[in-house]
Amino acid sequence: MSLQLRDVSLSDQSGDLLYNISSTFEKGMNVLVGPTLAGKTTLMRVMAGLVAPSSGEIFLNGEDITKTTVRDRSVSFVYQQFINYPAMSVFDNIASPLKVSPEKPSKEAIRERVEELAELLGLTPLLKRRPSQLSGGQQQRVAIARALARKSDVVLLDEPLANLDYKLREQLRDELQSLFSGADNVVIYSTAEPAEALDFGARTFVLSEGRVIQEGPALGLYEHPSSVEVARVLSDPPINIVRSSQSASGGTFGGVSFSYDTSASKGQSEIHLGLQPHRIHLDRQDKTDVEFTGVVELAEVTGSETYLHLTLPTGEYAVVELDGAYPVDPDTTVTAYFNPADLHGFDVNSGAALFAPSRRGK
Amino acid sequence: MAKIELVDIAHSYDGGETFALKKLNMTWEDGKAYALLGPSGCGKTTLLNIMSGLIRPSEGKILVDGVDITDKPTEERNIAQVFQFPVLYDTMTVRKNLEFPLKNRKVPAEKINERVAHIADLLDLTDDLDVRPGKLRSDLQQIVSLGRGLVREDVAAILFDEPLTVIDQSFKWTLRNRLKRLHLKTGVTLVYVTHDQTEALTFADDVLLMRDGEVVQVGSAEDLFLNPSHEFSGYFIGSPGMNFMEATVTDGVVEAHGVAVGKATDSSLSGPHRLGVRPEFVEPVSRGGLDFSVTKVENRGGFQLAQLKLADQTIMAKLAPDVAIAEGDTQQFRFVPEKTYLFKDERAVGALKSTQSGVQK
Repeated sequence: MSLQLRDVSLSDQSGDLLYNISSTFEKGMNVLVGPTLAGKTTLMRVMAGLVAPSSGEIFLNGEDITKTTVRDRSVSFVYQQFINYPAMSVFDNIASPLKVSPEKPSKEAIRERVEELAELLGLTPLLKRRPSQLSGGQQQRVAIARALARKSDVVLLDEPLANLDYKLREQLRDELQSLFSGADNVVIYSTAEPAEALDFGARTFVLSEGRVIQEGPALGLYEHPSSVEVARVLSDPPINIVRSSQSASGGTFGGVSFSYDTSASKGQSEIHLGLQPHRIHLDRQDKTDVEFTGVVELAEVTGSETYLHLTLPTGEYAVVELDGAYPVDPDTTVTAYFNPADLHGFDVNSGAALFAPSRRGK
Repeated sequence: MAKIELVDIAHSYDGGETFALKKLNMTWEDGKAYALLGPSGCGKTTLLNIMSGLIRPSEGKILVDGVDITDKPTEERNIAQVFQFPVLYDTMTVRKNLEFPLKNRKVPAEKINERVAHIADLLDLTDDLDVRPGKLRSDLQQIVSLGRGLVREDVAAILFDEPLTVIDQSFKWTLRNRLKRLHLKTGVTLVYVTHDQTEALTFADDVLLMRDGEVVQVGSAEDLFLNPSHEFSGYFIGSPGMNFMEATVTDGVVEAHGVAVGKATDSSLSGPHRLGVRPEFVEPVSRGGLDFSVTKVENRGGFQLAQLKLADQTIMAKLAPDVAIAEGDTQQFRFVPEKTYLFKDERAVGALKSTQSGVQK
């Protein structure tokens, strides 16, 4: 099972919405990650057949479905804002797509399928209730169960957990992961949150301003982003990006010069260096570490971690993620360390990656 | 600036049958930043709306500097509220939006200009004063909403109802940073409602963790993380939350799944308890620890999450990205003493005592 997009573009009166998307979504879990307005919902609407692309083709298992309407596509859609029929019981909500399906399953077959899904999603004791008698998380599980009822070839989940509690999201993410890990159909899950994409660890498509700018396993994209935009989309806290003057033997970071192998900078006099916040430490970890200073604007302590927001001597901003509690007062100057092996390099103009960290977290 | 007190406040939406907010006494110190944190339906928004005057509590009263304001309507309270979605007039410029609350109160024009200029300066909005809010990014629109709340001079507190809901991930960081710095500059009391633990913990001096209409624990982020007084603090704070195991204390020795895991801090504890340890405090040791089989390891970029098994109990350990660990291994871990708690009826009653067993790797 696979859903293939070939050169799919979409524009309307307001302008271009999707540009030349050529990606293949295989069976199992696929994650579409990108900020708000990147085009995630638009792309899913095109996949569902709710909107026809302006150009390009869509194939399901090799068959051209570009002109197939939403009714005739085997597609289910779960929206961020969970939608259930308020006047129907949970059972009838889940059963509704089966009752109108062209296969016309028997009553008995419908009951079996509904019970199977209820079991899978922990809804068995709730089948007789109305949606309004359920919590938000339970309502979204009903919407998901309904989307799965017909065993569609393509299941589209558009930020389905965005409106839920943090803890509930954690729990449902785990449930969805086990639900879809061995799926035969193509499941596409969209999110704006980097942690969610890394959590699923599935094949991931980074969407930015209507383009798929990189695809691959989530961790691979995090470690080897092809551009500064990919690095940004996959980092939370945001990756630090600072200007760096380059010489034959080294570069600068926040006003400090240090030596490192600059051969990957391709002779450019200035590049952007990228450094993940958790790669900065307040003590020296290695003799090759580079020391720099920053003025603390703010220290945010979560209990397990501390985020130090720093202003560097160059006026640039950097955030440091530390394990544990470091309640540093604002306006304190701190000395911090990073290792050149943890740096990303990006072209100042195009944003293209020049190099990635040579040292990987094992 | 003022001290706000809630005295025996409770609220029921169904005439007293069930309470969305159970009896609560709380003093909000002048100039502190508070967060109300909890899952949906825990009563946090009800509490916020009682303070702003959108809801009249079924029981109890609210005092501002000792004056009872329980029956005062919203507009007569000097408490400002910022909602999930920016509430702005899009036919007006940012300047006109900021002037609006003052014009309504018939403040002299000169004073209005002075206040608007001051607030714009404080919020870095000076360059945006003559544009319409619709032209601004969503995070800046929220800053303008905040400005409208702050523009009055007599504001005792600003209440935020999940103000980052519609803000893009990447701007959340900068917006939070601005709110926090603003708090340091103005010293106005802030109360912030959210279900996002990171937001609550980073924002507030004190977090009120709520569940089922009750405040379960009040404390700093560090307190809630390191010293959970209730199982719910263990569960709700931290990602993933605390691991819990059924445990029995016999003659001071704590046993979980037939394995002695340590001694209890309090020698009077005895019988069945629940043992709680955060994934951050399941620590790999080279010897003297407990044998776990490693059933799953996930690299999440900034950290590794390992699923471990002790007898038939599965627990999670959060490890630095460079700790060597592989699925299928049997490795020794210890539960860090004093950070591993014993709970009885959901309340923390003790911890594992620090005895030197286990050598840190």
